[in-house]
Amino acid sequence: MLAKIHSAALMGISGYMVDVEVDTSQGLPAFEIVGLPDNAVRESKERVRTAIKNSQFEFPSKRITVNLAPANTKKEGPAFDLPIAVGILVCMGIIKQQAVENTLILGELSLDGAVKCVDGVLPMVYSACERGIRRCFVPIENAREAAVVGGMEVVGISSLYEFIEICIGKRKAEVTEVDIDKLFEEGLNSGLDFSDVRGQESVKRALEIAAAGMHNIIMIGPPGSGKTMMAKRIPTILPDLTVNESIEITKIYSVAGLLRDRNALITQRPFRSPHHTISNVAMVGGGRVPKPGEVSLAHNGVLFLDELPEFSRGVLEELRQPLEDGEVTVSRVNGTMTFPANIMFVASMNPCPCGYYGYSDKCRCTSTQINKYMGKVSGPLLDRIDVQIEAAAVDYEDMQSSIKPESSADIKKRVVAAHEIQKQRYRDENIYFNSQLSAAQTEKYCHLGKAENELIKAAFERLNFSARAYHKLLKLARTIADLDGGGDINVRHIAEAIQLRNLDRRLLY
Amino acid sequence: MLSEDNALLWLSTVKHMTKRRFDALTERFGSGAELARLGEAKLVKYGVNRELAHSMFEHSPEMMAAKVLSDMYKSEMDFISLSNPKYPPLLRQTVDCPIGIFVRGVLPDYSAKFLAMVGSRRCTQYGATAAYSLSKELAAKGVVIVSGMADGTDSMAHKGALAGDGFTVAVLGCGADVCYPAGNRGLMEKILAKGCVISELPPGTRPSKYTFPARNRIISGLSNVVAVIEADERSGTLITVNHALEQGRDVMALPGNINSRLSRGTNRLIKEGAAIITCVEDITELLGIEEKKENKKNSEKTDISLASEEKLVYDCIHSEPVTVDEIVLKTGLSLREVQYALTMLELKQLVSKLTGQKYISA
Repeated sequence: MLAKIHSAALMGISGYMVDVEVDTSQGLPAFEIVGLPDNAVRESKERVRTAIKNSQFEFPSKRITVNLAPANTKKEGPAFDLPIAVGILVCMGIIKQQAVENTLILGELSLDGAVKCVDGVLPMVYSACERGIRRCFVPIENAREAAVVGGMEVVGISSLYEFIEICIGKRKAEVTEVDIDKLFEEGLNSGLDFSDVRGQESVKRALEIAAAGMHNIIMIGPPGSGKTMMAKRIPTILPDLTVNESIEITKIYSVAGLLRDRNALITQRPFRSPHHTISNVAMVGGGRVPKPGEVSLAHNGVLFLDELPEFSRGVLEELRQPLEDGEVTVSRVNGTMTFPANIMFVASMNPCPCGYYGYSDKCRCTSTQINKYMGKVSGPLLDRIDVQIEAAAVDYEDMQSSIKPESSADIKKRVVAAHEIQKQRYRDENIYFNSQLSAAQTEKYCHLGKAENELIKAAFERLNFSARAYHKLLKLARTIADLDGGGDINVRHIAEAIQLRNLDRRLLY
Repeated sequence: MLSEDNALLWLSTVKHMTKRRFDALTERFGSGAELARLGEAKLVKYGVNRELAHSMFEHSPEMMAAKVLSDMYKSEMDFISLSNPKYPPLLRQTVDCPIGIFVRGVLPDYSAKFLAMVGSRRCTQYGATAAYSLSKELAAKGVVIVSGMADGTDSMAHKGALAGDGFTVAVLGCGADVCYPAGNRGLMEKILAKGCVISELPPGTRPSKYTFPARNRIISGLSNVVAVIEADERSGTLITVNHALEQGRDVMALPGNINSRLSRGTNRLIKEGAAIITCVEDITELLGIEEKKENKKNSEKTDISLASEEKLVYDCIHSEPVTVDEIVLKTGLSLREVQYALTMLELKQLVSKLTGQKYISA
């Protein structure tokens, strides 16, 4: 007898349908799985056998053949345990084929028959939905995640026995539903706010400008100047996620297996801050079967690299492609995957190896040491960072200052308004933000008057600016003007932009 | 037979050939060329120290002179021996002056006043800006700034002199064609264009622990006055000070914060009687330069027309660095107004930006 169960597998961050075909026939008892299974799938034989036995059914002593179609892609992971077990039960006549028709089944089995959660449920359910399947059985822990997909009836199950009961009509299936709007409301309050940061007004302003034009930013300052504290608050001034953005992020987290303790949807912009010992693969993604790395986990959010020069050169150079293209391509034996990586890149570094150069007499670094330290961040990477701001040390008086700093909500209003202006302006171009302007587009959209041109010229002559700063200055001035309502760029905008390019300046000391 | 100049060239490559030994040898044998002619065996026979004679004739004098000459040719270097009238007169007066100096660039005008500016390689922002602005002003007044092209104070002194469009001399502890520290290559080229680089060591000599204290005596020897910007209590800079005192040069020191480690040495020098540097005039006075009275300093703050916000901001910026946030607090202006004013003031070259969002008056 032949049974056919719908299941799914992952390719990068999208899912595809896999048909699990189970056949039992007379012959010497055997259990074969074909269709390029990996070890985890091959071992599912033992889990399926024991789980069926421990769910108070006899495992058939027949020749069992399982095929995972399409047979040309490699299948991995334990998500096929449940569909294989169900297929065998159908063959045994315990469950009717009609009961599992047009139904997606996913789940790992434990020896006692319990169903355990698996990775990547959201993209797999999503792909099933696209193929017209309207019902799915997923592990109970993954149910909320799957229920995000509209038009899909999601049933969370906790054991094989429960599943059987539902299929034979002894138990009513409990459909899981989530209210996406409510999720968004709940997720809004992260507890972080820019009003927690006292002092550092100039850095906060720089962060606001960076957020408004989605410019990458680097903060340079001594230890304890609050660089990390401020970086963590950047997501609170970025516009709220749209549902589509949120689903995109959730898919990535689902594939990476980072969703288990979380809500059904990721409703806040991600903030990723990997440690500087991170490897290339962990940063951009990879592995035998490529999995998303930190740049993708920060998709639609912030990737923060603290102590930038401490990261290995290779890791930093790998960031160049994703920063340029907004996605990252990883090629491995098992296929070439492209993961989204549309991030706002935020970095911090000290001004010298000891951290106190220019801030305290404690610094004993020689200029050779300092040059070497600064040189660890390559020119091409710095070229992709528009805002370079110095964070001065905060002293006691700043901490005690009675002036209440601006809250994230106020800053966010301005940022959102600036984003709207840019979206309007670039509706005919293939870009959204000022930071994405190409050289030609910069000339087109950043028109300067006579006074502005003179100011820029004077800045280049007298302030030791390097030539490559020119377009960056224009883009930043554009963003500052957008924060002012989107009119023409004036001298004040340029003057402020000049203050945001500290590393370009060969400062005397 | 070597010419006398080439003989001195050969002798200046000989290790342990001090001025005293050189004087003793030439007094006894007449000239450098004569020494070369006699050879090792004869010199030893006449009672010259065996080791010294050996190191003199380790390679043949003619060969050594030829090799150095070809190296000098490659990097456009001159050799100025003691017998050359172009030898720096102040240096010539010192007891332990080099037999000859290797020079790249242009020789200074010896009628000018020479000021040695020395200090720690790891200087503070205070020391760096002081070295820079003092040497800039002095260079503009025609003072030749002598220093050692090391990191920190030395570099800042040279940079200041170059910015003041003056003449500057770098005395190296390695061959004049070797750039040490290597990071100063750009600076060295600028010095060569507008001043000169001097060394007593033959071209190609690598720097070593022993060459630096020795070059310090040339720095002080070349100069009328030695100004110490910053020094720890045990610092190489103090070697220069000792040389200066032996050579009878005036020593000045820049006072500093008593809590700063790098001002301990200078503060102690002042306590022990070194002249104090509080302004450029203190130095020019000691150098004996006439001040032109019409160039009053305090006129500059009011002379330039500034917009009201620029003026507010400018009034908060003095010689002590202030941060942007402090300026915002003091002026009551918004951050954006302050940023704008700062850019304009920088463009008018009234203030300078330092590392760490700090500004000082230019």
